Amino acid sequence: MLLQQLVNGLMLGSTYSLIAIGYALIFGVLGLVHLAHGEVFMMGALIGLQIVLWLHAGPAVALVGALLGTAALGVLIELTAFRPIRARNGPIFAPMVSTIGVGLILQEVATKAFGGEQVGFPHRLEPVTWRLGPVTISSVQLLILGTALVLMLALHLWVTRTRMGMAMRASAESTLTARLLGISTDRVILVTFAVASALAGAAGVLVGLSFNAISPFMGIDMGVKGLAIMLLGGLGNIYGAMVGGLLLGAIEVLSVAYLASSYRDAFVFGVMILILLFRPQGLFGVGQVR
Amino acid sequence: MIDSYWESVLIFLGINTVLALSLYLPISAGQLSLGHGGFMAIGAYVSVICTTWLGWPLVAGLAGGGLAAGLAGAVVGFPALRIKGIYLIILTMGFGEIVRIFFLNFEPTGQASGIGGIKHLTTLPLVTLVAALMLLCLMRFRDARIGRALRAVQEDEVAAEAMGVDLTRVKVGAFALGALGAGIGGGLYAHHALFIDPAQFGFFRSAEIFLIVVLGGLGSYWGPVVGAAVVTLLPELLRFVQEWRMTVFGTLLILCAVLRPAGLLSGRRRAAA
Amino acid sequence: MVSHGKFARFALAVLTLSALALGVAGPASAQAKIGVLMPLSGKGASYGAHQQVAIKMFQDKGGALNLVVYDTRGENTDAINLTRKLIGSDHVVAIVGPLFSGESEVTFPVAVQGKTPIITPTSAKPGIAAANRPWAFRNALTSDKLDGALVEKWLAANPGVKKVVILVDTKDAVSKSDGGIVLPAALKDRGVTVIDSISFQTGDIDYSAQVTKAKSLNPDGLVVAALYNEGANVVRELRKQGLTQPIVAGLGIMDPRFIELAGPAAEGVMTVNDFWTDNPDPAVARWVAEYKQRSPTPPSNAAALMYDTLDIVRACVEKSGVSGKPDDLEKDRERMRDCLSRVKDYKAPVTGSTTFNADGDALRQPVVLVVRKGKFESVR
Repeated sequence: MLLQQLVNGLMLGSTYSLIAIGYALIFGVLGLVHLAHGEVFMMGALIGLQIVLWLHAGPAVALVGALLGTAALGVLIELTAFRPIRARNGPIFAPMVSTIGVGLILQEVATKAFGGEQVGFPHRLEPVTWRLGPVTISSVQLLILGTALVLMLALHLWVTRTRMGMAMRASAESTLTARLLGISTDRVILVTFAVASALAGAAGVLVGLSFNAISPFMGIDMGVKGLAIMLLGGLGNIYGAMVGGLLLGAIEVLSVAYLASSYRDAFVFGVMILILLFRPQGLFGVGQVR
Repeated sequence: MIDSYWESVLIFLGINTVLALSLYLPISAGQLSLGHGGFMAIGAYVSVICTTWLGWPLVAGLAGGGLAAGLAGAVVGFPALRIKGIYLIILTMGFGEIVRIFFLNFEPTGQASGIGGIKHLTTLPLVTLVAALMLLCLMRFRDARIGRALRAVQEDEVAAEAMGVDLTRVKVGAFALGALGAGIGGGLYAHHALFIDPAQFGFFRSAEIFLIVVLGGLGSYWGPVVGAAVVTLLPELLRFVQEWRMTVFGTLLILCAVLRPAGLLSGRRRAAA
Repeated sequence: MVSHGKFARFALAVLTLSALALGVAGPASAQAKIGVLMPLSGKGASYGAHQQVAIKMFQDKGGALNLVVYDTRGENTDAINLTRKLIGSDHVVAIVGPLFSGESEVTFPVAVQGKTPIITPTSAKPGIAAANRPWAFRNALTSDKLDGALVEKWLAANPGVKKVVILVDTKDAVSKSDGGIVLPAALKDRGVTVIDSISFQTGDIDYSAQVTKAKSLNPDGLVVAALYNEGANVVRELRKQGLTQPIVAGLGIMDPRFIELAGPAAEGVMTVNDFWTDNPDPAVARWVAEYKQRSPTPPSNAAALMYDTLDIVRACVEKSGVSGKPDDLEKDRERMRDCLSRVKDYKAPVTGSTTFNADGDALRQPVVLVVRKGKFESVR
């Protein structure tokens, strides 16, 4: 059973990673916590579902559509809810309050558009299951893991090889220096939001396909966990977020398997608290705690 | 005099004010806490145990709940010393969740089924009194040595410490007192709602209280009062847009953050954490 | 006084029409107000939407009730405030609702204090009406009245089952009591051992860990105590991981969307309830057909029970001499209370013969159902 549970954990963890990366990107470049990121994830799932229903398309199209859709959403959020606040240079909670507002609006819009309860992808997209020895894997799980890895690799390449990607890293290091170097921070921020939101949207479609449980409120839990993972991996560190997500998925699944499920979240938070106390910069963070 | 509906609305307003005032204390010492729901839960459950199982009067129950919560606050306050900013937010969030999950699994208090049949002991005059007392304390506090120490810590911790302020005492104290206040708020809530279960005290509750405080702004101790009024009364007043209530509320939040980022009653600006 | 805009206008229209038509019941009783509490936004909004369709159907069929409808958002705070409003400002003679058991827990004591009868069409948590007699009633069946028959038929259909694993939602009070107390007792009474109880929580999306654990325990049968969302996901995961044992589920999963969400995995799952959309009974079939014309989604329990509860309330308004005059408010409420407590073998249009027992709980004939070819069928 252990092997299967580890596989379960890996699958769950890869979706967590995608969300956590988004948090890390935004925190890294902007220094703020985007409390509506979970709702962007949720919208990704819903957009993907709509594409499948309207165009009778397959998961690939849904994925691409959700990526584009949530990227656009992310840009919209940045322009309406964050940029005006940055211009005013207020205290750190102002953007947090703003994101709470965004989250509420997205939840209500989703409820109105799709109903308050869960919906699922049509069953013709039902996955094929394979048995490899003691372990059962479904095609959707492989799809998730594969897509997650591809996206993470793509992000890594983008951040290290392209100009825009490097501009993003520069801005994360120091906004002032970046500006001095002629980087348009506004544009970098827009791109950051787009990329982070696209990743979350992709995660949404993948989760929707795999667990078939899409609801306007699915983002809340994911949002909190993503935050926790970002912490685990080291704030603003996208590689930390990747590994942290996989790790958290494994911890969660193992705690359910060997302890009672009702303590699962307590266990997860307990682990987080321990890490905070003994290694506050996270597993991969370096240097001083801000 | 006041009809039954508005009486209930005002009682909830009073309770939210008590909760907000209690969170104001640690936040103004620079400790952002998103776990206040956990302290509220402890206060609620303990006060119910006091009044229902032990037959104590409400005031004693509130004291019991408050003390239990305050103790928890002191316990959490110590590790919280070393942690700042976003990390503290997550620590407190984790704490709040752990409390909720504890009660979800704790058999004697009914687990997910909660506790019902609580006596209706909370009255509007009582809630108003408690809120007023807390406000008064904060006001006196402000000018007392402790209050000034708090403000010094808020402005610049290093300088404050250099000036002889015992950071540990101030910060842990603020945290514990804040938790105590939340515990009292929880007790008041339990004896008005007459039924409590762990779901009432989850992350949403903590986020709501946090929202109230930052909405009102940290400039003055009237901030939490204004914030509580906005958050409690607005949904009631917005009933005519029943269908889109949350959207309107969310939009208002965004507008507040954009137009008055330091809170509705902005006074001094907080240095970034 | 703020009534839900649409309903205020509708109620006014119905009132005028019935006054003009010189209805059977004297025009005065059409003035007696009935409060309705349901979630129209937030948590449970989709159930609320179902109930709205049911209300409209009821009123279109000439159910002349003056309704005051409020949205509780599924929140306890709002439920408390609104109950007080209905009793103190709107002067209703009875309240239908609320939806959730948690809301019922907080509103029932308010109704008792306000001496107003309150009847929830849907809350299934054990004991809440009993704790608030004589004013509180519940038109939904609770698991203790249903599980005996369910387990009986399930074991009859699957005689090889001697040991089971229970998968239970510990965050939902109704499922928790069903899966933790009622079902295990019913199973033990018939000689079946419960190997283990594996928990999950409402809102979970991943059940792979729990199912893997269940698989490793090698039971003869599987028991699921959950709401329809989680239940559907659990059942899907069970079949996905290759478990083929028979599944029996508590009444919480009873909703047409269970089958929709679970897909082919739902085949063979057995459960129990008093209402299902594929009921061949002509009266029910007609009702369902008409409902489907008004709404894109098939009716859930919430809609059927709302309809029937309104019908019972209407019958009481007509028969118990409720005058609707402000001076008679206290008396009217008592009349409603007494009438409701005397409901016996009342032929409710959709869910059938209903009786309220001394605890205020509804008694009806439970029907054990099984999923066959994508529909619920009754088990003989």
